[in-house]
Amino acid sequence: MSELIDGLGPNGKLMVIGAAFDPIEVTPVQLISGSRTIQGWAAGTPADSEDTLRFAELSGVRPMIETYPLEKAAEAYARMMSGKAEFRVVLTM
Amino acid sequence: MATMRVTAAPELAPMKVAQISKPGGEFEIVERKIPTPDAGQVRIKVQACGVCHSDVLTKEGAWPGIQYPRVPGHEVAGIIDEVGTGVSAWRKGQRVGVGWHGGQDNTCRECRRGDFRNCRNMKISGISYDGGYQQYMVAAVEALVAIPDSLKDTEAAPLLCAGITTYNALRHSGAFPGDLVAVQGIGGLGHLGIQFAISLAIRWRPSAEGQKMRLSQRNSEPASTLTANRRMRPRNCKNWAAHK
Repeated sequence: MSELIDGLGPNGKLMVIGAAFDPIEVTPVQLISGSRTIQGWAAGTPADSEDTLRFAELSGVRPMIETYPLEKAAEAYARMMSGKAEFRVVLTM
Repeated sequence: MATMRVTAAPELAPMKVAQISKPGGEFEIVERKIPTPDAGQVRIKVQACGVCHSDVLTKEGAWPGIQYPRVPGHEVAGIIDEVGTGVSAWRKGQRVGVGWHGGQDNTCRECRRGDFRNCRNMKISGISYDGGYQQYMVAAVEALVAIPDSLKDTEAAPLLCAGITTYNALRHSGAFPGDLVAVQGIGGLGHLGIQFAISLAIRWRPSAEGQKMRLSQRNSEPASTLTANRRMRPRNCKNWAAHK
């Protein structure tokens, strides 16, 4: 994510939502010039989820998914970890 | 000898779960007794559950305090099939989901300020308690999300973590219609983030070349904008070459 910081415009913000464990490297000068911001964001409340579902309903936004039966959870998880899924793996019961 | 068929009550019949029994363990498909909801909880007959990269926390034991065996899953869509005592706002037969936010304590300083998202003792489905990789799960009412009829279970489930995370991040980012966002990583979250940005009239660019999104018939108009297989370089990004 470190490489993205120089791509931020004036007053630009890097919203960090990918839960990685490796550090983001940034110098104070990179943040000061252009008054840039880095912010983390975790999901939200169930009420926010309902907003999301309503917005999806109105806008037509839908996930693109690959489904696996519950019994193939290991395979489904491996597919997700491969990074090759297009784009969300979903278990069905 | 004649045999008698007895239909077991749901509580007596076993259900299938996919559990992890120790940090770093493999998935095990086992049978368990169907759980009973306590006061303030409902039981959900799970229909679909998204597989999120954060499930690695349960699989590998990377989150402190997980008690095993544990059933992962925090993108759950299903139907309430039993309600515990004291539950008045939710009813049997209602379509509901559970996302990352699996409950708050209502007593910490953040909760008392109404900032439930940052509850100091927040519970997470699939980490603090058994999540959606099973046929039935129990959740507290404060974790429940009502699912509109127009969304299928398999469509709603990914929206409850991948969807809400990207939608909420965009709408709290300060980006207005006409602004430009770059999306790094077009996967479970990114492919939704791009769609949300387009729907919010926010321009977007991929943050790495060569990433493709398959065109969707349903969203043919916005999806054509999603084709991200050309090389793009955000202005001012000096280190862009590092991505090649």
